[in-house]
Amino acid sequence: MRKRGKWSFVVIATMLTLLFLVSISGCARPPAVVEPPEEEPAEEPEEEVEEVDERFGGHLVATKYQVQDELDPSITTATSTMRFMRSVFDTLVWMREPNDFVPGLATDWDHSDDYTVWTFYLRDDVVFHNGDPFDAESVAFTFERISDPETGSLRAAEVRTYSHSEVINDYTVALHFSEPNPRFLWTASSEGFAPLSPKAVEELGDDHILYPVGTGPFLVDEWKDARTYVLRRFEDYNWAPDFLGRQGPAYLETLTVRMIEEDSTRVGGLEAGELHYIDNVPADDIVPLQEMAGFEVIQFDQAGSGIYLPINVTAAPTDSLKVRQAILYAVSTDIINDLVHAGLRNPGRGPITSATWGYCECMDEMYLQDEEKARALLVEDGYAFNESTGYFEKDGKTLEIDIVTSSADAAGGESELVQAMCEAVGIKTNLLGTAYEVRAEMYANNEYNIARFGWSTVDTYFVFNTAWHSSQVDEGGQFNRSRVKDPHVDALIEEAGRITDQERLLEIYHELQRYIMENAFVIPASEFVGYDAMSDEVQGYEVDTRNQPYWYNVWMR
Amino acid sequence: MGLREAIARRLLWGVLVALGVSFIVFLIQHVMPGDPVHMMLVQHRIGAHPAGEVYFDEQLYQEMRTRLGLDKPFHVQYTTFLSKALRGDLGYSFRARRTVISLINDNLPHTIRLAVLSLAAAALLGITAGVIAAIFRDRWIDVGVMVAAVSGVSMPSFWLAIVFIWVFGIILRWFPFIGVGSWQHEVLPVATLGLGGAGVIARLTRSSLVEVLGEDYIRTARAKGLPNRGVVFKHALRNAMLPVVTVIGLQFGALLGGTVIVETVFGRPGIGSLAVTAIMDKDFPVTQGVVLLAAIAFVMSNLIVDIAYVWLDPRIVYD
Repeated sequence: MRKRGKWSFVVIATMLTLLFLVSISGCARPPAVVEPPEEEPAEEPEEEVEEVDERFGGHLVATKYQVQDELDPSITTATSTMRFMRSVFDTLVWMREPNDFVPGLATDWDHSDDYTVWTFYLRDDVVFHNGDPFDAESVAFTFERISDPETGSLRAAEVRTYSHSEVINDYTVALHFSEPNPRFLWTASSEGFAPLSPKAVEELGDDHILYPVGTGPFLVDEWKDARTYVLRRFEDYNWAPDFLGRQGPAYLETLTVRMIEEDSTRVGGLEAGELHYIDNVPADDIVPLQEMAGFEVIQFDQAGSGIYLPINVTAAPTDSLKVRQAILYAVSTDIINDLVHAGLRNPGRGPITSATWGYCECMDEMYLQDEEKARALLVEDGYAFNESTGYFEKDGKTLEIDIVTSSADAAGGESELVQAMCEAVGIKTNLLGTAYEVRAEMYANNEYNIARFGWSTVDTYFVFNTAWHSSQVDEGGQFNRSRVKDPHVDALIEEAGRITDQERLLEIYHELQRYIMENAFVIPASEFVGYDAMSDEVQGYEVDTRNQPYWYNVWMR
Repeated sequence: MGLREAIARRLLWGVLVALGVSFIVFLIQHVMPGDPVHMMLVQHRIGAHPAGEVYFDEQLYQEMRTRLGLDKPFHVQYTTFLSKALRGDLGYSFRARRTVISLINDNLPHTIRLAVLSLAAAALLGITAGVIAAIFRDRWIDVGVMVAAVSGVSMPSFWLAIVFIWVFGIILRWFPFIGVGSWQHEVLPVATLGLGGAGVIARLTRSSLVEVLGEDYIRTARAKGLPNRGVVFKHALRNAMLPVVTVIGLQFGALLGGTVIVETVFGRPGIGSLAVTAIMDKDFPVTQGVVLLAAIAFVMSNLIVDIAYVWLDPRIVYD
C-alpha cells in the first residue's frame, strides 16, 4: 500500500484553482477596437438647449434569430445581420422601390451608352466612423477589395464583370465593367457594396469583420460577448437621404443586438421587457402577441419566390406535361395556407409572390383545385384508374412520384398536404424529409420528382435568373430544381438582364410566369410572410423595400 | 509505479485519445453529405430558407474551395490540420473568418463558468440532501428528499429551463434570463443544470453512505461511544464519497459539452452553442476544434477523478 504524498493534494488544489480562475475570467470582454467619438459639448444657441427633444437618447435591445458574428457586409451576406448593418453603412444610392433609385453618398450618377462605365459624383461632406474622409478613393478601394479573390468576399460574383475604377477627382469616380451592366444601381444600393474606410480595413485587419467601419448613422461600438454587440449612434452623422426627413444623429443612443436562436426565449424576453424588438416571431405566438396589450406585430409580405415545390421535368413520370398539370389541379394552396400556416401566410399562385414587382394577376386563378380535371388529364395521358389499388396505372406500372423535402416540411408542412392531395386523386406519392445537406445532394443527382425551393428577394430578375435559367440546372447553386432547359425561358431572362425599360420588363416577367405555370413547372405552395414584434415603447419604426428597418428614425417612448 | 508515473501514462493516453477523436471527427465531417462552400454561399440555416440577393457563380464556388483548402485530398487536409494543431493553430473558421482559437476564447469562459457553478451547486445540494436522507433513512424526510432527487433527474433541462424562464423571468421578473452580464443572469441557467446533477449526486450519496454506515468499523466506532456526527462526517462520509467523486468528475466533462441546450434556451454564448452552429454550417475547423477541446476536457476530468481517489482512499494504488 502506498501512502498519498502531500503533492497530490497540491496538484488537485492547483487544478481546481486554475479551473475556477478560468471560469471567472469569462467576465472579461473583448476590447472594443473602434473608439466611440469623443462627445464634445455642442455649441448650440441657448433657446435650442432648453428645448430637449425627448426622442433622443433611448437604448433599444433587438434580436436576430441567426447566430452569425461576422458583420463586414462586403464579405458576408447574412440577411438578418444586414438588417442592422444597413444602418452602419450608407450606400452610393438608395432604392426606394424596385428600380427607383435616389441619391445617397452619390449626389448624381450617369453611365456610358453601353452601360460599361458608371460614373458617380460624391458628397464632399461625409466622414467615416473613424474620422477618415469619404472620397472617390474609398469607393474604388471597396470595389477592388470585393473583386480581389484574396478577400474571399461572398459578393464577388455580383461584380464579376468589374474591371477597374478610375478616380477622376476627389469626389468623382468611374467604375468600369468588361460587359454591359445596366442593373448596376441595384448593386450600388446594396449595403454589401457600401464604401469602406481603406484605413480602417488596413488597421483593423482580421478584426474588421467584427468592427466594420462605414459612414452610416450607427457605428459598431462594442461586443459585450460572443452573442451580443452594441451599435452606438454616430454623433457626426449629417448626410441622411432626403426621404428620411431630417438631418443630424440618430435618435437612439445605442442599439444592442442579441443573437437568440430559441423562439420561446425571444418571445419571453419581449414579454418580460428584456427585449424591445424581436425578429422571426414563431407562428404560434403571432396571434397571442397581437392580442396582448403593449406589443405590436409587424407583418412582412416577402417578395421573391415564396415557398414552391419545383416539379422535375426530366424524371418520369413528371416529364409528362399532363401529369404535372394533374398534380397542380389536385392541389389546393388555399387549403395548404389554412391548415399549415393557420391562414397567416398567403397561398402561393406562381413562381414569384404577389408582393414581388412584376407579379402577374393572371396567376390568381390559373390553377384552382379541381380533382375531376386532374383525373381527366391523367386519363388523357394514357393512365387508367385501378380500383383495387386506388392508383392510376399505365402499362402495368403505378403512377408514382417522389417528393424530397425538408424534415419539417414532410412532417406537417406543405409537402405533406401535397402528398395527401395527390394520393386523393390516385397518384402514389412518396415523401422523404431530410436535412438540407442530404436533399441538396439528391437534387444535384436528379433523384426526385418534386423538390422544395424558397428565396426572399425584391429583385425579380434575380429570382428568375437564379431559379429558372438553364445554367442553374447543373451549375451555380443548382437552384433550377425543375431542371428546365428551355431556350425561350433563357432568352427572356437574359433580355431582362440587359434592359432597364420598365414596361418591357413587366412584359417579360408576366410572360415568364405564364409560361412557367402553363407548363406546370412548379407547385406554388405558399407565399412567405415574416413576422417581427416590438413593444409599444418603440416609435418611428419603418422599413425599406427590402424590409430592412431604418433604425435612424426609431426612438424609445 | 507511483502516482506520478500513472499520471504521465494517463496523459500519454490522453494525447492518443485526442488524436483518435480528431481523426474520426475529420473523417465523419468529410463523409457526411453536404458541401460547406455551398452552405456558406446559400446562407442556409435550420428553420430559415435561403434569403437575400446572394449572387454566386462557378468561379466563386471554386475560389472558395481553394481558399478553404477543400480542393486538396483528404489525407493532405488532415495532415495539414494536424501539423498546425500540434503548433497550437486550429485554423480559421470557414464562416466567421476568424481563428478557431479566438472563437473558442470568446465562448469557452462562459461555458466553464456555467459548468463550474452548476457543478458546485449540484454537489452542494446533492451531497447535503444525500447525507440528510441517509441519516434519516426510511423516515419521511428520506422519502421526501429522494422524491425530489428523482424529480430533479427526471426533468429534462430544456423543459426545466422554459419553466424557470416563465415563472421567475416573465411572471415574477426576479431574474434576467437572456444572455450573460451579471450574477443574476447566472441564477436560472445554474439552477436548471444544477438541479439535474443534484438529483444524481443525492441518490448516489445516500446509497453509498447507507452502505458505509453498515460497515463493521462504523459499528466499532459507535460502540466506542463516538458521537453520531463524528461517525458520519469523519469516518463514513469520506469513504462514501468515492463513487460520488467519480460521478462529479464525469458530470463536469459532460457539462462542458452538454450545456448546449441551456446555452441555446437562455441565449448565452458558449462552447456548446458554438459547436451546434458550426455543425449546422459545416464549419469544419470550428467543429474540429471544439470536439478536440471536449475530448481533452473529458480526459482531464477523468484524470482529476483518479487523483482524487488516491487522496480520498490512500489504499488505492495505481499499477
